[in-house]
Amino acid sequence: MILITPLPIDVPAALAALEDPEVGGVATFMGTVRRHNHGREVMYLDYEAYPEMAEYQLRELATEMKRRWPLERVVLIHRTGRLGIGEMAVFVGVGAAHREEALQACRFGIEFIKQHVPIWKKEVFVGGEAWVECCHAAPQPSAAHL
Amino acid sequence: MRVEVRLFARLRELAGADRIVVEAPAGVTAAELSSLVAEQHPVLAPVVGQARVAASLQFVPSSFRLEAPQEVALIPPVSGG
Repeated sequence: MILITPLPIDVPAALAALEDPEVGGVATFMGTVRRHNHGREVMYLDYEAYPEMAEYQLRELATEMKRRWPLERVVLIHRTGRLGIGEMAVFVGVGAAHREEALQACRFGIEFIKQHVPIWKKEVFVGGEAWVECCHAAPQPSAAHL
Repeated sequence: MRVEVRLFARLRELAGADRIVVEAPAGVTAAELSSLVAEQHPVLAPVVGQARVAASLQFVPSSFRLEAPQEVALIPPVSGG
C-alpha cells in the first residue's frame, strides 16, 4: 500500500495491509504533529507534496526496502494538507518473517522519506509561519538511482 | 526551448505561481537551468541554489541534459515526515 492522501490516515486499514501468514513481525513508525518546535507554539502544519514524484519515490522506496531486506509487506502513507496537533502525517509499516529486518527496514523507510521525498511542511505558529527546512542529505550510493 | 518548471513550497510562494517558463537552449544542463531560473525570475534567485532539479519525477545530477518534452521541477529542501 503506497499512498499520498489529503484524507486522515486509516491506521486499521494500514495494519490490515501488513498482515500475511508469512509475517511474524510488524514494525511501524507513525509521525504526528507535535505542539512545540524550536521554542515556538505550533498551531498547525500545512503539508504540500509534489504528488506524482512523491508517489513514484515511495514506490521506488518500497522496492528498495524489499531489495535490502526479506520483507513480506510494506505500507507507506503520507498525508497532505492542514494537520492539527496530534494528527498523523506519515505511516511507515513493514511486515517480515522476523523482527530484525522489520525494524531495520522500517527505520530505513522513514529516514528516506524525511530526506528525499518531495513533501514539505509549513509550520504555522503563534507569531508567524515558516517552511520547515531540512537539508538535502547527500544521497547514499545505493539509493542514488532513486 | 521553452522549459516549464513546476514550483513548490517556498519557491511557489515567492513566484506566486506553481510553475514558471524558462527560455533555455536545447541540451541545457540542470545546473544551467537553475542559473537561468535565477536570471529570468530574479525573485527566486536567493533560494534557487538550494533547490534540486527533478526531471521526469526523479532527481537529476547537475550535469544532466534536459530534453524536451520532460516534466521539470525545482525541489526545495524537503521536510516531509
